[in-house]
Amino acid sequence: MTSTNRPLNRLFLAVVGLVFLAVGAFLVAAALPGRSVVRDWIGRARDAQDTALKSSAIGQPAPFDGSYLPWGLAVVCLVVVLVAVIAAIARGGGRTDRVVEVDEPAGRIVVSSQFAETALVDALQPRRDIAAVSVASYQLKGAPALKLRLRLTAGSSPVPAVRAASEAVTGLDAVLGGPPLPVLVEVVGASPVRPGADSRVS
Amino acid sequence: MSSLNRRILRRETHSSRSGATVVVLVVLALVAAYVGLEAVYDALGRKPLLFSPLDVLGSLLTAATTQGGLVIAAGIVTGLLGLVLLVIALTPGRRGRHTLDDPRLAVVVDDQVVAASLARTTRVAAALAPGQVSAWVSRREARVTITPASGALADVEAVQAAASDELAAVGYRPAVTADVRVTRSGKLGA
Repeated sequence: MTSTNRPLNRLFLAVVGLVFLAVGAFLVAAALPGRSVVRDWIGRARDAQDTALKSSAIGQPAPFDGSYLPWGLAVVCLVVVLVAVIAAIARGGGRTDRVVEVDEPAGRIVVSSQFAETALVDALQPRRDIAAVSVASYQLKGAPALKLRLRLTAGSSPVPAVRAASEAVTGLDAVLGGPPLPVLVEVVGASPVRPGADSRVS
Repeated sequence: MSSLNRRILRRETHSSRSGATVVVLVVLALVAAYVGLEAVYDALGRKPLLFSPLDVLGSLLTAATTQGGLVIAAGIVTGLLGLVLLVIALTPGRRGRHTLDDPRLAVVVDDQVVAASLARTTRVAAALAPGQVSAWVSRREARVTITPASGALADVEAVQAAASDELAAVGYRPAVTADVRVTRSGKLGA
């Protein structure tokens, strides 16, 4: 339910994969025995690079007497580092703390997501087939949505628990009014690492 | 079901590929940081730490002429890495989850829950002890393995019917068919 841009993830991986494939093919082509066009091209590129480095001097006193091209490369690398770090951090997200936000003539009405979370947890926690309930609120396409995670005791059927959740959410709809909130129910199993989740029942 | 619910379910049953993306981004950041550092060393006219990025073409030319095997091996490894990334990018990346139809909610169920619930239903139907039934669920198939007590016969048809009824009653999507098997060796003292 997070706001991660998934097509962008895949596009990025595909582009990097294609670049790696191209570099690999280039390396293989460059090292194949016999006369190689690619090797000749590398030689010409090296010579062109040497010429460019010689003709691009900054002309300042040392240590700034060399070419400005390495500085340009350093700046490009810095930008790449910044973009990569920001893109790596900007993942997940999309959480919100409001389930209702309406502007009325009399003023603005805001219902905290804590209200919906408490209501659903209180309604579902006493059930014997549910070991743990947790609720989180997300911003989905500009509107709030709920994610309800039900951890079942081992061997319980998901159907009664989901039906109970459906009833609880319908009740919440009646209380909140307005268009129904999108709700995701995630039914997960008892986990041996979580002592609250009873894995002995089977 | 609303299109929003369909979108939620699609996202919840498929991997976001964030893990692979973060790994690639971190590696990219490290490599770029190192190359940038070497570029600054080169620009200031200092000796490189390991290699100067400006020597790459010359070194590659030398290596390709004198140590062709090494360069070809490096090229193959790079190409394979690229292939792996392409496969990650293009495969659907389904998570082990099934969805349930509900008029109000978008429901996803972990395959672990499907298997545990199926194992219990069939165990009760076959009147077996805990630990004599194990279940394993994939996208379209559920395999239930029963270990009868030594010397006793397992009523496979009853168990198969119970498992199929349970799966049909719940209505997972994509639909799961049950396949009941009996182990060749029984269990003592069960």
